Amino acid sequence: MKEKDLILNFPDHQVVYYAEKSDGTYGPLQTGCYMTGNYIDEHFRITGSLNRSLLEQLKNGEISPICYYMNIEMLTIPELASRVGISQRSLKKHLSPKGFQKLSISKLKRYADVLNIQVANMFQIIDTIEDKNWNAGYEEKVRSSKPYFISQGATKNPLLVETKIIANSK
Amino acid sequence: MTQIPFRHIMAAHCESGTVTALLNHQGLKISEPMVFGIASGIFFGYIKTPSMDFPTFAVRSMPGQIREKFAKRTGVKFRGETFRNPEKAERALNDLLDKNQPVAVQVDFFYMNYFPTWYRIHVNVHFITIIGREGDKYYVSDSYHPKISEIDRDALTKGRFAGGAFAPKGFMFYPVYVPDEIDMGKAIKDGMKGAISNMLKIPLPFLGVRGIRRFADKIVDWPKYAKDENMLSDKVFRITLFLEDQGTGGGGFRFLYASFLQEASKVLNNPRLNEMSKEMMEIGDGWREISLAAAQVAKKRDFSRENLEGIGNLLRVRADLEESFFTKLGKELSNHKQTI
Repeated sequence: MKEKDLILNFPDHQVVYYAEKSDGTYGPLQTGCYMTGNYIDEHFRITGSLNRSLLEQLKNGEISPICYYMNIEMLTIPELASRVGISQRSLKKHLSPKGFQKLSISKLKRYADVLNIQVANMFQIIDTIEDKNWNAGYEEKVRSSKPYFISQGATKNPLLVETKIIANSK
Repeated sequence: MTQIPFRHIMAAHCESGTVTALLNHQGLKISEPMVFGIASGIFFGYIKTPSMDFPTFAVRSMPGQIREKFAKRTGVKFRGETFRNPEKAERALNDLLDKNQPVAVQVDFFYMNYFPTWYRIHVNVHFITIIGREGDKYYVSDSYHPKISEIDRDALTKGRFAGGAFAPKGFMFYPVYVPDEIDMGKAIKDGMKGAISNMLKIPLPFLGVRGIRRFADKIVDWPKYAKDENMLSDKVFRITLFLEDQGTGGGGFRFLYASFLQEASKVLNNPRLNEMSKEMMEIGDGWREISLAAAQVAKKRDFSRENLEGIGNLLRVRADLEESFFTKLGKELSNHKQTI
């Protein structure tokens, strides 16, 4: 494919394609990613709709928080079971609210570590569905352009989380 | 200590990009397509096991093989190590960095928090190069990121010790020996032989060209595996993602392979390979057509049999073209042998 047919202006997601240059040689071309450049809104539509439907099920007591976060992070049952180090059979039980209630705190902590959330987030929803830069399942430095952002930090107490609403000074 | 002087390059693919950048650092001038081609990275596999909820496919060889096969065919030696204990793994990494040795590590892509949140997924076979450290942060040369980035110690450890399929187990590698002279001609031919074998000779119905045909036949069944329309749309979008944007260089690695063939024609002084590189570029264009078609179907959410069969038919054409291409490449190789 010729370079000019691959060029896409999308600075947020750059990739390298190999393409035909004007002199007929082939080489790398750094440009915007085709998929995100063209379909990012569609991606947000799918993940947003999935998130809302899972949240609704969680609020209605139809699924457990483990089921919620597993889906948000796009992990499968075998993948999550292997990461937590339990059988798929046990995991399936923990996906329902009834099975979830029988979990020990120590096992819950193991789940939380693998799902990259604080244990406290198994029992509360911080609804930031409109903020694509923050999600309880993604522990990271917040880079929000909004006036306020949520910061959740672990403390020395492994089960205690400190949640702060911080004014964005930038 | 701080950063080791290291030439950061963005690359099409993380593994071939990492190997290329490390070798360039070590003084071996080599391009990413050469690394990819010599290591026979080109491939196809359509995979659906009973334990899988949904079928998937691969357009490249198994993770790790690019490094291993390249090393075997060129005489370059890498030292690789896995760890059970994260502290030991960190110490080993730090010791090497303190000796000014950039080190490639295998990580779960999810924890690479220099990328935006929406972009990060759990994939345990991402390779990055660590090129220095300062306090609790590490400097990273990631082939998928335009600039040298930073990652904090906790995220790096989590990434190196994520569990699950292809768990990295703290795996790290770096080159320890680069021969003064490499017989590039032989390495290239071995790489081509490997590619022919990948695509034509594996006697399993879901690998190589047979795998493309199986994909073509089975794609019409995809709606029955999906829980709902959202899931199906997401999976069909992934066809585009896997072919174009998950580190393939476009056209499901076929553009990258075309670049390899063009370079190989110069090294082997064989103009016919240059002609064949153009053919491979066109084959890649066809793969891109499939990507575009899949994205269109996913966006419109019209998963009718006709639409899916349309993608299947495009796949069948790719299978036929690749079968004749690799057969021809095989003949070219045996002719080449005779003329030397």
